[in-house]
Amino acid sequence: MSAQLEISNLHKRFGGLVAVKSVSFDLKPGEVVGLLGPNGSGKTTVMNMISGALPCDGGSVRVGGKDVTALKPHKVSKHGVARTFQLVRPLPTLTVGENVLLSVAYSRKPKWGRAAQAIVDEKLEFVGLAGRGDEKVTNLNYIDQKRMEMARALAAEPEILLLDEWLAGLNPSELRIGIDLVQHLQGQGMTILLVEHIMEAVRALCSRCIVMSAGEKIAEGPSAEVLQDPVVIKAYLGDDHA
Amino acid sequence: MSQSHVAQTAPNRAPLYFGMMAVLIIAVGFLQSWNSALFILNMGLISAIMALGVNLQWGFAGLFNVGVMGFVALGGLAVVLISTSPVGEAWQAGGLRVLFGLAIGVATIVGGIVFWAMLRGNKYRALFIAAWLIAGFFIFRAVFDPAVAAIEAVNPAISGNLGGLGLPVLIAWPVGGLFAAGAAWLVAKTALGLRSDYLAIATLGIAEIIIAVLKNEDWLGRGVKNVIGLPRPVPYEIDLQQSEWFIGLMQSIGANPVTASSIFVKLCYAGLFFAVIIILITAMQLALNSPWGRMMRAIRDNEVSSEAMGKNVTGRHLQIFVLGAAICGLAGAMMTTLDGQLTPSSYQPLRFTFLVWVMVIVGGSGNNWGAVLGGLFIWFLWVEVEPIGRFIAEVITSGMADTSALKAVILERTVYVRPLTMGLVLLFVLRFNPRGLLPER
Ligand SMILES: Nc1ncnc2c1ncn2[C@@H]1O[C@H](COP(=O)(O)OP(=O)(O)OP(=O)(O)O)[C@@H](O)[C@H]1O
Ligand SMILES: [Mg+2]
Repeated sequence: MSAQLEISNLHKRFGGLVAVKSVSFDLKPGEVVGLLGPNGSGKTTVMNMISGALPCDGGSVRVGGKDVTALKPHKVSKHGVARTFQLVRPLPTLTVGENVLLSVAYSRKPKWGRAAQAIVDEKLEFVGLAGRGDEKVTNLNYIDQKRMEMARALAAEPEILLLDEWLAGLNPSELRIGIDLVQHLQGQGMTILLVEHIMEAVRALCSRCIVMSAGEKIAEGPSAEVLQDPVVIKAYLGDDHA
Repeated sequence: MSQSHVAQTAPNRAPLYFGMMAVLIIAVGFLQSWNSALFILNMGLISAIMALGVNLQWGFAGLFNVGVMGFVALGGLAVVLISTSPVGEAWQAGGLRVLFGLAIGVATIVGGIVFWAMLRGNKYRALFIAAWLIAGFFIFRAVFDPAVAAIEAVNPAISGNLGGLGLPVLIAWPVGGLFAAGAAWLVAKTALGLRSDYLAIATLGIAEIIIAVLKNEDWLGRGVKNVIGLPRPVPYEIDLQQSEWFIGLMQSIGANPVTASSIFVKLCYAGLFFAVIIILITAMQLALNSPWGRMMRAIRDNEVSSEAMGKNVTGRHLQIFVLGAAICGLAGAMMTTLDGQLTPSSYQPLRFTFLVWVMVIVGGSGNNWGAVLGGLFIWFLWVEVEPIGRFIAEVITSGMADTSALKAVILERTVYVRPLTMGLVLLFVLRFNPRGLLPER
């Protein structure tokens, strides 16, 4: 099967700092893959380059076989890539429903009026915000804002979903719900790249993991194996634990 | 629950403020004259339209346009080019040659852009382009300069320009919008997508360039020799004063036909301006509450997440910048029509850029009604504070001897009351209503 998302030799510099150093990996259709690594290892930067939010300094990104490397974010999104943000980015002057509606109107598969509203309601219900579409976004708590971002990403009906620490900050019962939600998407055949620090979630969701450290890919493989890899443990915990 | 809370903190003050504005203007009518009141109203309406244009760019998209003056002036130029009669002799003397010269100029620039792309990787690229541009410039001047000289030599005291198309002046209003839109498109194409301060610098520059062209290219709009006596969309006072129905009407209500004719003309203008402002504000309110407007608000809220949702931020910015400039151009054409003359030297950044910005900020950026209110209110102050200031100064100094140095100083300083008041109003509004008199929501 051909890759749904294919990145090769991705490079990014911020001034003198090399944030991402020739990172390559593939996602097959329907795969849920974890992107792990200690803080500052370049995970968010990789996601930003996939979604087009940051231009690449080298390498390429292909979505469904098409080269999207040099495209602006709005064009990449039209190739079926949607994302959430590590630091939520709601649109404060719009209501919760309008935030989601925005993904539907003027999108890859635009819908208007009733049809659009139906999708908004469906996605809000899916993430557990049923009936809260008329509230102001600023009234939502952090977790609900994250839910809203997920609904917003899903409303674009993407094929690839980039989740940047979407589960971070949840309490244990919320975490359970969050994991179920992602599993549900997995069941629908969504391709998901998941940046996550919560190992419980990674074990439950990802068949495969990619680990980065200091901008480089240091390991890749089935989650159980990768998480035991001494190189990975060393990267996370320092030399003593290896 | 949340919504009722918001409603409590922000009652709709628009009717109150507009009512107060009406009272102010009517007071001028009773205390000074109805001619003054209508003068304030008409220019206030035009200012309100300029403020609507800037508000579209700044309030709804966060685009910083400091070249309002240039777009307004282009609207004024449109009035000359559309409504004055063509000067046949000047066209014969060099009309086509001037156009040909301009075509050469454009071809030089377009050719430069095309070759720059074609010669990518060629090590002589810069050299070739430089030679191309220099050669193009000299050919352009060789064709253009004699043509201009020939046109400007035709009857310089009353024309010396090509004239216009001789069409009804109302056509110049949308055309003024188109002119401004064209200039805005050029600016936006180069400066949008860069950091936002570049847009500010580019608009500042283009406005000065437009004014410089208007002042110096006599063949186009007579430069600083001004174009006066532009055709009107409304009757002339003198015709009214001689028409039987008007005299009869005025006698029946016991008014002086001479004063009444000038009031009647101003009322006609006011009617036209009201029509334009109602159309504009209706269209803008509809647009802003449509999916398109929601998208614009989203982009202003957060460009990164809007882009991730597939919104073309640069494209929408281009669109709204051009639209806003077109509204300023429309207002400029209306103003020149009202004035009946184009006087390039009267375009001052303080009057046409700074003041319009004060209108938007005081009115409440992001709110169309706020822009209209700001336009009317600030214009009212602009006109009225000077006589009020002079009156106060005269009262203060009335007891002083005519030779008193203090009296001279005080009276002399009254000219500064205007900018001083603008500054004070801005300070007070920003202090007590930081989001303007009518905040966005
Ligand atoms: N816009 C930027 N400008 C300059 N440096 C940046 C920028 N974005 C990220 N960096 C730097 O690049 C490196 C990688 O950052 P990145 O956000 O990708 O890490 P991360 O793996 O997502 O970390 P975390 O787990 O904390 O989210 C860090 O050193 C960071 O400071
Ligand atoms: Mg991160």
